[in-house]
Amino acid sequence: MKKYALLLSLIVGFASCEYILFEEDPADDPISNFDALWRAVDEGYSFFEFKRINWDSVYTVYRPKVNNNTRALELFNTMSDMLFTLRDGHVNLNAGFNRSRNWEWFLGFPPNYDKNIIERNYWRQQEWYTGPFVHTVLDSVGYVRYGSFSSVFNESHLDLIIARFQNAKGIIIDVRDNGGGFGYLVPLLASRFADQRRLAYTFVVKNGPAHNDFTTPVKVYVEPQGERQFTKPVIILTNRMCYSATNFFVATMKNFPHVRVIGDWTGGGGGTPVSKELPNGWIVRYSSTQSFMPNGFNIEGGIPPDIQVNMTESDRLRNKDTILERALAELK
Amino acid sequence: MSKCHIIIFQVIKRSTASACRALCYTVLLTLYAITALSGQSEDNARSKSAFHLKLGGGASLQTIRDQAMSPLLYNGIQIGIYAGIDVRGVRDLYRMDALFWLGETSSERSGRTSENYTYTINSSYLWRVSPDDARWNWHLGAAVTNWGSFRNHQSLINSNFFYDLFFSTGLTAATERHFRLFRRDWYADWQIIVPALTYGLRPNYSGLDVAPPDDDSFQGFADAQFVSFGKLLNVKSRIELVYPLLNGNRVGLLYYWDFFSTSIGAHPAQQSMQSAQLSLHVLLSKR
Repeated sequence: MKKYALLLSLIVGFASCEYILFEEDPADDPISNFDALWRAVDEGYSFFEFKRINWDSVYTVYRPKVNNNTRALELFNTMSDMLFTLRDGHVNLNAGFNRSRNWEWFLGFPPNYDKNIIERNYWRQQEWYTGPFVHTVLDSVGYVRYGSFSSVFNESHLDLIIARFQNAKGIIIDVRDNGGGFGYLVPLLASRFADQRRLAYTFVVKNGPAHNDFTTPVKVYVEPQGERQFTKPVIILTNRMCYSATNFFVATMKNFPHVRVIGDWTGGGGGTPVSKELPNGWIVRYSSTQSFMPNGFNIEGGIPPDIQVNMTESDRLRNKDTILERALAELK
Repeated sequence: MSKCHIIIFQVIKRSTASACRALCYTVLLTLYAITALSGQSEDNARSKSAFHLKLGGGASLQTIRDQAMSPLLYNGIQIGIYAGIDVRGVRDLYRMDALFWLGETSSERSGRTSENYTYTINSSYLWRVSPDDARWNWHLGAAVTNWGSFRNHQSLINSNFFYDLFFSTGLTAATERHFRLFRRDWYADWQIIVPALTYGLRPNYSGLDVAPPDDDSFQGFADAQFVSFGKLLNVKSRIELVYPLLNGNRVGLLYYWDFFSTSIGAHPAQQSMQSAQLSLHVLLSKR
């Protein structure tokens, strides 16, 4: 009986000892967390060369601000300032009590969108609400407002909208202030305006720690899908708040000959972000890809419109949307 | 995270409750069978050959450090189901164990959680190398194993899906012994499997698990390679206490331990699974 008890104890003890096979959790002091953040970005961020950022120099500037007595808030602020130098809206540090961000890609530019003007002067309660889309008819032209790629739609929503405007002179797709969302919705929407299969864009993914370690380019195509397509003139309205998935949408649509873009540059956001957990449990998000239009243009810094138009103050005072008015004039 | 992953994990979440119920029913049925403890046959000597089907369930403790997911240690309780077969001949044994676990792990430091589902299928062919009258019956043989562990860490957007997928062949050894305890017949069985050659699949360098535009079929994101001990150290150990019932059926209490440490792909990972499974072995045929 004793030997069976001993055997059982050995088995249980052996199982419990497995923790010696695992390394310990990494150190959780401010310096270790700062270094972990810097290293994660150094080995994973995709735009150092494109943006001409010397990340080693950034380390020498910010590392002296951290020591083992640095408190959490101070550490967060120093890390946030360091990440701010990346000039990337896809870069955030989430500490639970706050989330760092860089919104310079739209804060330094005219807003170019006023929902009150659109709602009161153009929709006038005649608009339809189909899923996340708001649409109406303006001067025989279809107007479709899509506010966020985080709002999911399906094929039936698109079927209805395309069917409603099939006899319209054209369609205006207003994606101003659309900050992005789910990437899979981009081809779903764009395919309804595709005249044929076309190369939408290419992308590369970080596959090594060096700043220029990328996969071979991957081609992304868009082709007609769904019950019906609209291939008459289409105008997309953009402003600096068009970011991420919206940026990809504009990049995709610009390949169609019947599509034009009016407004301001998009805000950019051509890198798909990934997230990593730090030793202290904070999470850093950063871009891990680069994307290019078929002509090689890197869309990280934004996409220029075909017709640059800013909303004017005089129009705003008259409850007129300068950008929308220009689009309507182009479709007359 | 792609639509596909969202749907899979919603299904798993909803099925957790039903899986708990299924586990309870399995345990109750097994306990009912065990109430025939007084019903051991007088002759519990091993048959010359026998084919047993094993079904059961239990729980496990999973411990993970996957550098692709986090530098922190994650652990948690999983619930599991177990199925297997034992095909025993005069001198040989074919055994297959299939275990599936479902649950969450969490980090003590960050408090974040990861939804996990893990399976392993181990097939072994063993040949008895000890004499017929030996107290300990030793077996040596070969094994083919398949391990899959999938984790969804919802706090890590676009890089929340992590996995280890191993297809291995290796060596195995087992020993078993009959003994009497509390005036009953018992068998103790210990088998160890050490994979020697593995085709392993781990997440890609960036951790990105969605290719714009969310193309789940994109294969370029996984790091897959043939490896041996230099890149994957894996040990699988099963200890089973078997209690023969009437008519050649049996009840088994299995302790299964699986540990690996790998540097396949860009980020090393270590994982262990300690599992206890209670099962009913139904005799399908014997000679």
